[in-house]
Amino acid sequence: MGAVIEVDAVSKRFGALAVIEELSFSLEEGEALGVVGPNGAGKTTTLNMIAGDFRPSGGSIRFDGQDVTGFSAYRRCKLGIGRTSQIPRPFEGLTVFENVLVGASFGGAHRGHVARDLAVDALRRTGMISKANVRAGQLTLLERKRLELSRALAAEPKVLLLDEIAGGLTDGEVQELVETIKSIHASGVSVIWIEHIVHALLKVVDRMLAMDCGRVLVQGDPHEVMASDEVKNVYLGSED
Amino acid sequence: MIRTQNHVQRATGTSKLLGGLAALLVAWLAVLATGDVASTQTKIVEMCVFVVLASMWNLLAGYTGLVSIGQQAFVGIGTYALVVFANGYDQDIYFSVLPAALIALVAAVPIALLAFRLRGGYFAIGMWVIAEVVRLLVKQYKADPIKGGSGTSLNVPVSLYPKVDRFQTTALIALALAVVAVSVVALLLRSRVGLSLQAVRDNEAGAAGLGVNVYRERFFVFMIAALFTGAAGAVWYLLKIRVQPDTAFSVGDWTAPIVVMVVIGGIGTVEGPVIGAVLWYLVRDYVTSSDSVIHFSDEWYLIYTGLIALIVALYAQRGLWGALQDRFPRLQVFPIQRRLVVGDEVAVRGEDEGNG
Ligand SMILES: Nc1ncnc2c1ncn2[C@@H]1O[C@H](COP(=O)(O)OP(=O)(O)OP(=O)(O)O)[C@@H](O)[C@H]1O
Ligand SMILES: [Mg+2]
Repeated sequence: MGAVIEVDAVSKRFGALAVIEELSFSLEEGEALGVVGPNGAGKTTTLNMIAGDFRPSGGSIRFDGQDVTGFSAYRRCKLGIGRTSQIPRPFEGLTVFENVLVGASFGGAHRGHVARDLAVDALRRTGMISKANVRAGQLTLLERKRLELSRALAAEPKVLLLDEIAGGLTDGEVQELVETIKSIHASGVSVIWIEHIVHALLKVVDRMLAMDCGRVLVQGDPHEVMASDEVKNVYLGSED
Repeated sequence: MIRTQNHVQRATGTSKLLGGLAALLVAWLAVLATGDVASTQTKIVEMCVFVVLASMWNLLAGYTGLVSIGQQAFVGIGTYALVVFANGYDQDIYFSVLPAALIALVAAVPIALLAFRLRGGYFAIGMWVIAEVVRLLVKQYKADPIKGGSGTSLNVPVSLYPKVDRFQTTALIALALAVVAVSVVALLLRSRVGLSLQAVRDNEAGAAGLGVNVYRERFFVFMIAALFTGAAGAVWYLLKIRVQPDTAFSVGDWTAPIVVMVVIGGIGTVEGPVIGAVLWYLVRDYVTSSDSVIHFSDEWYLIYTGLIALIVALYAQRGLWGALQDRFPRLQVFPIQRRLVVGDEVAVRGEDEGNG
């Protein structure tokens, strides 16, 4: 088993603001990695760089051993990097089914009934099938988040990057989501899951990475990381 | 994976009914086109040319976010290519529309490579600058058959092209061009590529994140728009004959009314620009005629409709057609939607036809 994602000394500056500084970590094949960190730590920025939304200011990103630092987002998706967005990006004029079909048709590069069945399968697995013919513009925020997951799944990712998809859910819904992500992971997909709801993360992830100020704070066994002094200091006063 | 009898429905009841009505309308216009009323044929040509222009501008702006205010470049290039083939090389004027459109397509390649380096508002202005540069270059070419800024006329000796005949033929060509252009737009949007164009329309970053090559789709659509915009320009001048760079490359004569039509009719819909162009023409025809209660000049008409477009853009972004669709979600003339019918896994009935 090798690393499927390697983030190597990646930095990101927005103008004068250094958001990520020499960040390095990797994701092993078949692994589920949890990412925690306070607001503004640079979690989403890191995920966006892995997905190709924008280029790092320095450093490199490898996927399956291939340097993808210069690849645009659509190529990375086709290679097998799927992602959900913290702020959902639905195609509001299209139905839920059509939204998911985009993932199956372009990310997954399938046609006709293969793409269709892939989309249906993704809708089933994420519990969105009953909404298939609803225009995405009419979905609630939570449904939009779930649509993010359905679409990403339809593109048949090897690695799935999840950005705060459990926020705002009830306990029952979180439990459902945990089961869904577990089953995706069990089907062989490597996962990076950014989440503030730690108890949900702990049910899924094999390893935890805590970030602050664009750097790795600690990483390792999920429970040990969450119990570490570094993480406690960062979260001081903010009980979760 | 579980084998299911899922299928996808494309046509709806309204699309069958309205599609049939649209076909009847085209047939009626074809009858009018072959009549001998020159003013009717002129209206058909003008309306059809703007249906083509509006549909193409909408394909660019409404679906790929390429808001160009320089599409008059392709009207002008198509027009002058027509002049070169017809006057310069003595080709049949009707046949010359074809190479004129192809020249517009070829010209679109370097223009796209240049303009695509710009984004958003810069692209819009950049396209305008490019159109102006082409206009100025054409004006500098003083020799035959272009004759610089003073312009020229398409050679249509009545012995070869009797007037009644030319009006009839041009009206039919314009109608055919409009039908082909709108069909191309509808078929494109109905296709797999069309799904991605609608995705890009709604959320560009989201589409890219799902594997859509936005640059390539933009380039492709830009080429189609240039081809048909060039053809539309050429067809217009089959009727108007008199050609000048300042009018053929005019933003006020072409792109300004196009934007107004598309915005009022409904940007990002197939039907909207067609309805917008037809309405804009019918109303203009009425208010600029002498028997109208209120009378406007062409300029004031554009100003007033421009104001209406502004209000529509602010309060009803998807225009007339979009407002109708919001009220009647399954309303469509062209069957573009995909309605999923989830199969019953137990009762295995009917065929599992591929679709998409
Ligand atoms: N496009 C941008 N331009 C300028 N600054 C940005 C941009 N995107 C993010 N930032 C800044 O980078 C920092 C990290 O943001 P990021 O969204 O990655 O944090 P995060 O860890 O995902 O936080 P949260 O838990 O709130 O989602 C923040 O200070 C943010 O303001
Ligand atoms: Mg974030």
